[in-house]
Amino acid sequence: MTRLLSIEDLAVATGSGRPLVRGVSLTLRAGRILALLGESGCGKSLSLLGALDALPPGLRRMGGVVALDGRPCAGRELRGGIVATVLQNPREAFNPLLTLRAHARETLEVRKAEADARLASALAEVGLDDPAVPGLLPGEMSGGMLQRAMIALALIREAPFLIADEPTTDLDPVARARLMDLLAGLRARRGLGMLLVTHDLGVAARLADEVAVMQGGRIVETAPTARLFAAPAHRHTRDLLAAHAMLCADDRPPAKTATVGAVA
Amino acid sequence: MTLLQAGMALRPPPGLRLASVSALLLAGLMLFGPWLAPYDPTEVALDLKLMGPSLAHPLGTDHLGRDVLSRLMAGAQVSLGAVAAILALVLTLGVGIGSLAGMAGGRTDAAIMRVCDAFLTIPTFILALFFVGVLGTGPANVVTAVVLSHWAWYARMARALVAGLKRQDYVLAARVAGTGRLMTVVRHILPAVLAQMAILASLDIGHMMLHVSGLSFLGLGVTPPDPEWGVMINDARAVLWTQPVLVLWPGLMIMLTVMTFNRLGDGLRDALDPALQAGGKAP
Ligand SMILES: Nc1ncnc2c1ncn2[C@@H]1O[C@H](COP(=O)(O)OP(=O)(O)OP(=O)(O)O)[C@@H](O)[C@H]1O
Ligand SMILES: [Mg+2]
Repeated sequence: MTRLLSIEDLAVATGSGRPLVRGVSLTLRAGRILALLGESGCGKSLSLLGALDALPPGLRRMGGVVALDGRPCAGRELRGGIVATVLQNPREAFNPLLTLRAHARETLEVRKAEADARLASALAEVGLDDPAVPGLLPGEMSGGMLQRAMIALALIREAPFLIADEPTTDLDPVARARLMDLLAGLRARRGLGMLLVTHDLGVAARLADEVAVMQGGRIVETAPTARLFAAPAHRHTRDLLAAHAMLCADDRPPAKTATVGAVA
Repeated sequence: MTLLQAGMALRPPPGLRLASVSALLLAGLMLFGPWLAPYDPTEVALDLKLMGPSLAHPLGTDHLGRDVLSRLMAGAQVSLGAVAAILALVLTLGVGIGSLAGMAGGRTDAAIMRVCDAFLTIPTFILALFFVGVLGTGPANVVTAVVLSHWAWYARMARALVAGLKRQDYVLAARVAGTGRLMTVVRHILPAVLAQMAILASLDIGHMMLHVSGLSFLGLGVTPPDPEWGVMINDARAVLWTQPVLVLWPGLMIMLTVMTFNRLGDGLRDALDPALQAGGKAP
């Protein structure tokens, strides 16, 4: 049984050698949620893709070890079967010419009927149980549906780890709250180890056991959630918290209460 | 299967349907023309030469008394068959080489593109003439020459498409979902490339047709007495002023083919473009 996925000292650079991510270390544990916080452009997405050896053309991984229960692994061994990934932008993460069902069959190397059955149960798990959904093209689904469909696709291979890149961006507060419930439920039911990349401190506060804060391509602080929020050690973390507090005071109740209200 | 799905999701407009019917008819003529022809297209009957339309010879006869209708029908095999062969070869070569360059990037890409550039600097007809000169005359050599003078256009296009498509998020998504490299190309990149290239090709069919007929007209392709539309036009040149219809018939067939496939290409483009753009930024 897989329990521990560790990323050690990961670095990503452009083809010309300009470093974009340096010395990133993160540890995922079964049944635990790690949140990765950081402002836009600090290198969160590239860290994930780097760990999976799936960097966009033109970027290179410069080092670092990804280990599964202590055994170093290439990205190819991890992708899909061990680590399921939900990409940042669900609207563009589907081939516009393929239905959801075709997407599911592609990832699963099983008979079609079996793949369809697994897709149906994964879709039910994320709350998309309308029987028409598997036959829809991406253009026929809303952003929130795509977001959930993406998570369903990530689930069908029953990988022990899930990486979700900003799964709540672009969602309205109700959908956002439902998604958080979904993720919490997945952890509870399946014991998934998760890495949640987010700008949203509310999501981190509600779901994460541990939070890592990133700035300028480096991890500047990693701490258990409660401690990080109560006593942030790094200046950048304090700035992030302060900015969030200001936003919350301005225009909406703190994220935690909003969520609880919407869930009930 | 992707193309098929895309095709089924899109209802073709009526003009496109008409063009499809016409394309089917032309394809039928290409496959079965020689057997459907009422007379032997090479049978000379000098006593019947240059006759006007009659019941026995609906389109009349040419300067050697051969039945024009039969020559048109039998000629479709070579005229259209050559174009079909050219298309198949050009698409295979162009998409294959272009996709390789686009996927590989770096030095491989640069090397392939320089070779393409060399081919692209010379006008295609001149290049085709040059290759016929090197290879010798005859239908197979004409096909080869036209392929060699055109593949680079397709390779360039395919490369640009692949280079854009491989950056699409859904290609990345397939990759992080564990789909292998080859599978990703086959499922997510090639169908979109082929869809675009099919559009380009159908718009280009007329152009290739004119190349083949042009080379035959110059006496470099099909050799008389075998029927071919370009050869027929050439034969009719001598009697252009007395029997202009003899040029008209093969000319009309060429025109029909060109128009059919231009319309087909336009329709395909209109139908596929929005579908391709719906899910992603244009490459
Ligand atoms: N293909 C690329 N080539 C060069 N630089 C890149 C490339 N992709 C990303 N970058 C740079 O790397 C940095 C980190 O990008 P990344 O996508 O990881 O940010 P992020 O933290 O995920 O931001 P966001 O929260 O907005 O998604 C950015 O400054 C970006 O400009
Ligand atoms: Mg990102």
